[in-house]
Amino acid sequence: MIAVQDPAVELSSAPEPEPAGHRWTRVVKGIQTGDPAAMAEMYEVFTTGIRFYLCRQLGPQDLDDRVHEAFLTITQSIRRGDIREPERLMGYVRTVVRRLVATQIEAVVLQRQRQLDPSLSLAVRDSNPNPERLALERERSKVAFRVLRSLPSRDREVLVRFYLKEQSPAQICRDLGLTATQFRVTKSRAKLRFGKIGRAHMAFCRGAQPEA
Amino acid sequence: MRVKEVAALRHYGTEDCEHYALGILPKRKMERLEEHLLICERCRNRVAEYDQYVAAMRRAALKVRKGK
Repeated sequence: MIAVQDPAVELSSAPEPEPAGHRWTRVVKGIQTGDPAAMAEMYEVFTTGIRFYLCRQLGPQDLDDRVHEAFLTITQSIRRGDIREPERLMGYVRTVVRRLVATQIEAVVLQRQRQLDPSLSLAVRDSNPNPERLALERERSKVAFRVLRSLPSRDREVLVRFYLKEQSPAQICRDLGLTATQFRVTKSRAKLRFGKIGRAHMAFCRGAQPEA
Repeated sequence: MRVKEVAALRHYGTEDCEHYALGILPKRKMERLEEHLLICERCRNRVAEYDQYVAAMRRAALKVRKGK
């Protein structure tokens, strides 16, 4: 782990926060002894992250139920003493949530196999996306298309190989005679352009909306 | 989560978040990032931004390839 550290860390004169490992051990012990404050702390810390993970993997449908199921599973297994390293609570939560996702996907695949309908796709995520989200996706795709069309052909080739063909940076650099820096610059330039054109495009769309 | 604790997190860079969105982050690194995402809003936002960007670029690249 990784590059950037918040300047707040260096500037802060506040006392050191509780080390994460100690905190998780305390929370786990609290849950095992039925302390409601420990339960509340676990909910407070992990709810948004679990929602994010589940939504990203399975889509927004039934999200509240799934988050609830995740917490139930985590709490029950902590109480049973399944967690061997309480200081690794984050890893444990991730593993439990990942298993829930895998189970959910398996269930959908099985259900669709039983239906024996070849016309059904295997996409598990969000089988019924909302129109607003679809419209936003379309707008973003238009912007990305404009970005790609506006680039020199070699840059466009780099991006098509990377994002569509999923070729590795090493292979792209080798095939197109680029250095790693040139590859990174090409990508970051496109991303900047995407942001710039995207903002202008959205501003134009907002301006073109009729008054309510 | 309390503000001081959030500030004490080390965040993931754009390249890792993009590789995660693409599904090409090495397994061990992906596990650590996913653990981090459980508690870090800033990195969740960054990953969400890259999820959208990567999806848009894929659709656009496909369109370019088809010559539309």
